[in-house]
Amino acid sequence: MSKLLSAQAMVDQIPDGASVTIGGSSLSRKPMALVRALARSGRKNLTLIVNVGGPEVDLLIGLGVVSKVIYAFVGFEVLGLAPHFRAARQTQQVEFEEWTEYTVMAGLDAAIKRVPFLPTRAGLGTDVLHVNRSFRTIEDPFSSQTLVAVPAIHPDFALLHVNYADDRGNGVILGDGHIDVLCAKAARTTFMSCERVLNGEELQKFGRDVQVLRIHTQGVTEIAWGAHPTGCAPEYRADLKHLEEYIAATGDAARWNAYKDNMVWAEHNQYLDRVGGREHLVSRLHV
Amino acid sequence: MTLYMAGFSHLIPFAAAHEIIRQKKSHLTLCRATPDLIYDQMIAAGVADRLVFSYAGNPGVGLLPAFRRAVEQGDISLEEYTHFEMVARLEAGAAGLPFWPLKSPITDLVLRRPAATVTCPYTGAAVPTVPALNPDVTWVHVQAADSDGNLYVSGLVGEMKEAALAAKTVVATTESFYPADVLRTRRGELLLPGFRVSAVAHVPMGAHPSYASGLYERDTRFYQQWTAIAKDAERCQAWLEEWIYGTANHEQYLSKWGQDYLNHLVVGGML
Repeated sequence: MSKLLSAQAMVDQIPDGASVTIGGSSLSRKPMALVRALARSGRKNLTLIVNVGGPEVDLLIGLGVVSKVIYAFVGFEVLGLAPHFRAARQTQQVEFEEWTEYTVMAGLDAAIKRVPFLPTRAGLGTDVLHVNRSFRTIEDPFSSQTLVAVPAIHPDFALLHVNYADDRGNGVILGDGHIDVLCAKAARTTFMSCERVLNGEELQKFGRDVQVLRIHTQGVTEIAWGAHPTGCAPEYRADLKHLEEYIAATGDAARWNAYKDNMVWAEHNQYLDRVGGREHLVSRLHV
Repeated sequence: MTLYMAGFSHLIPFAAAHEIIRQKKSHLTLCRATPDLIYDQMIAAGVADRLVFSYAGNPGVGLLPAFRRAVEQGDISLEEYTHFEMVARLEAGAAGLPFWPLKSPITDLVLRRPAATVTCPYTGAAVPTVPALNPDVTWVHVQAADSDGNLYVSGLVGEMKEAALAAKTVVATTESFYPADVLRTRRGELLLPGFRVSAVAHVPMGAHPSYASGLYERDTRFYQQWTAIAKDAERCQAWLEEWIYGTANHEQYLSKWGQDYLNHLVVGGML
């Protein structure tokens, strides 16, 4: 059964108020084309669940469509803080729940294992338990140690971008898998974009690099450069020049409106032309 | 000492078990999801006085006769779990945690071993748990290892990784042994990094009569023959005398089977 869908058809299925977990990490392999399609959809009151968030979280906050973020980190890595995320934290316009990288993984893993929580020592003796009042502790029934109980996270949707996929929804990740597999397994519905759709036999040759399995995916779409402006190893690196332009555009209403008109309200091919065209991207960003 | 010899039907470290039998080790606590023939032989040889396990059987054939005899005679004590509970115990052990919560419903197995439920602090639900399992030693058999102790497995991994990460000490036998760095490109097959592995021995066909994916098939004929051998206590001891105590090492054990016999098992037909 083919699960090939357009990005538009994917975001059409995401309702207002949905919780969406997003794969990738920092400036690596974020499903930015799907995120831009979601931004264009006009959906509101989204809850975002990320491990190491970056441009995807910042863009959606900047568009005013996010009501809550569960995260371990949000930033622009070498380029500094995430401007809209920072502003939203300062003005408290968005609800924020600060977790840690491991507890986000454990929360998704708890959902996958169908238990209401998973135990961990992560967070004990730190301020995480004060910053995040939603975490509770539990006593080990065998040795009476106190541990953190990480509540299960049940995302409605997962958005991923991978190197290759087949039309049945198997996905190959060649670089760091980050938490994509946890996102795919924990979410009720998983949509995946890929640099290239391959036939199933070609895909199988990648062995254990076939990390996302078809039983966990409901939609696949081919979007070359679909992670831009983040990178997609080993093919292309993050576009730091574009991200600098993005950060610069966030300081001022007129420039931010121009950025949105140019880069968000554009189909993916238009977007690629506006960031310089495919040939230009190859020469600048190919590894 | 608590010993976990890993490998779920695949890559069962039989050569290591045979050497443990030859060296007449005793009073071991043996842990395994599916004790299989490997523990039936070890129990027959009297190396164990306790078994922590899930599903004791000869897969596809029937019961484990030596295991059954030892239980009936009271020679061995048991702690029984489901497969999933065993994996959850190892997962807790690997994570350095004292327990692991389960979705799995409480079966009557809990009446026979330590168990406890916790109250979920979010939902109020009673959640079954199992205690961590931290073997003193976990033994794995792998297709390839390098001189740094990096271990590589292709095909079915089963609970090998969890069992190894839960153990205080990890030792390995390997089908092939390489200098450091040669195997780096096989990253997808990495079972364990060398810093977690204490020792590696090069033992080709070290999983016989189980199988090593891509190298040799399971010796199903021997798995079937084992029932008759092990059912009769005297015949079982005679088998151990002839095939284990009577051979100095795994090489001699293999040559007793003979090249022609083993060639039928080898993928591609030649050893």
